[in-house]
Amino acid sequence: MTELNVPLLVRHAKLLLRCYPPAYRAHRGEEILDTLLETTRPGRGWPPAREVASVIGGGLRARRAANLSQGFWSSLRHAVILGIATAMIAEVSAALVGPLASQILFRGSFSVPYGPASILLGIGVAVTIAGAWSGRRWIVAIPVAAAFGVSVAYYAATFSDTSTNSAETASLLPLIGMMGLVALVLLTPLTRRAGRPPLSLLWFACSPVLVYVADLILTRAAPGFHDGMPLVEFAAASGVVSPYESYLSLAPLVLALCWLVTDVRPLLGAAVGFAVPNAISTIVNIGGYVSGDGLFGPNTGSLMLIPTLVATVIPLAFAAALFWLLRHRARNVPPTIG
Amino acid sequence: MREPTYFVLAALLRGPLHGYAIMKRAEELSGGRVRLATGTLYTALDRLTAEGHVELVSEETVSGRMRRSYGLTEGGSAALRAEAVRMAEAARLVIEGGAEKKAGLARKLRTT
Repeated sequence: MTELNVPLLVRHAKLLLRCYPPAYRAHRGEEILDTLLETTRPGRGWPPAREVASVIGGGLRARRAANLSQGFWSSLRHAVILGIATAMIAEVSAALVGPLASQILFRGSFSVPYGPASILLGIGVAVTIAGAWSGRRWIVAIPVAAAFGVSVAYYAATFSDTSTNSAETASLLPLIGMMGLVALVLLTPLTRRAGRPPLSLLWFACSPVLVYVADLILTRAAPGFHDGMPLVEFAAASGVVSPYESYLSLAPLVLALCWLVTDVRPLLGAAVGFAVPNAISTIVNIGGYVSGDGLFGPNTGSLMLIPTLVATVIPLAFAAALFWLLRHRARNVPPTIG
Repeated sequence: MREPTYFVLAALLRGPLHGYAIMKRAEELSGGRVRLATGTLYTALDRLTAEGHVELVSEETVSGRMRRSYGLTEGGSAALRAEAVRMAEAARLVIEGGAEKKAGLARKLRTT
């Protein structure tokens, strides 16, 4: 090993070690680094490809073991918190990113009917997630209760108004409000003993992306499907979906595979996050269909019912299968160091 | 017991070794067939430690880095021996069966 290459090799080896979870690295990092350096021929800047692959694989396995050793109920709690947060973030990001993209691409030709409400909801979501993450119930309860109250007030105020924008606002805000109520009901007991989940922010940030892409694919497969997400409607209407859809789909696919290897909870969270708003849409839509006036217009009831039902049942079935997998695997994972 | 696990345990039969030495010894004992990579070795050591087959014996600092040596526990020795006996019995079944078959064939040839 030349003196010149030692720091470079060590730097690269340390970079590889980041595949392992922090607690594991603190315990075994130096030891693995020592062995990695021993296996590398003098003069090389990187360990051999075989060693690189094995360290990446070992790191992912250690992450999976660390995540599964949290126990089933703790994992389930974090998955549900993540799911609800994902559902809420997907709504907010759609409302905020849609107009921004519209401003850049089409110089403001696209308007959002409920901009101020979505910004308020965004603040609420940020506070809710912070509360859920820190395990403090009252921080979670206040914004979701406020969101619910505001949406009910809006709904009451615009109930008799028949103009299009107000009707859209009136139809969307109760939806958000109901999500708030679901979040309130679910998050409050769930955060009782919640510590900080062992998920990195990268995984967390990718859940809404997965939900977004799932929505895009569903919209493409069933053009009648719009669950009220402005970004989906904007993307479908402007035609920017088609050329980029394939590229957009790749990243979440790769991430989904990584999740499956290391931790199924973010994927569960995304599945729940995708199912919750669709379940609410379905319930409201069935009500509208029965009364002859669908949530998204009088003629859309029959068109929307089947896709929304499918969109609700498939992720829930998927989530149930993964819950089973998580539970099954949690029994067979050896205790983790650190 | 999988082959790499068997040879990791077998590598520790003569006494405690550190990570890289285990890799080299396992390769040597298996005639080059089992070439453990770093990630695989430490995953195996985690599992074997959790199962009580291997234990940490000593820690020392070499060139500013931590080096740990691992040794076989009594349970590990027993598991290795049991696996060796099982494999020997399985091998005998084939080898002795083959020998009997050969002897039978030779007898048949002599009588004809």
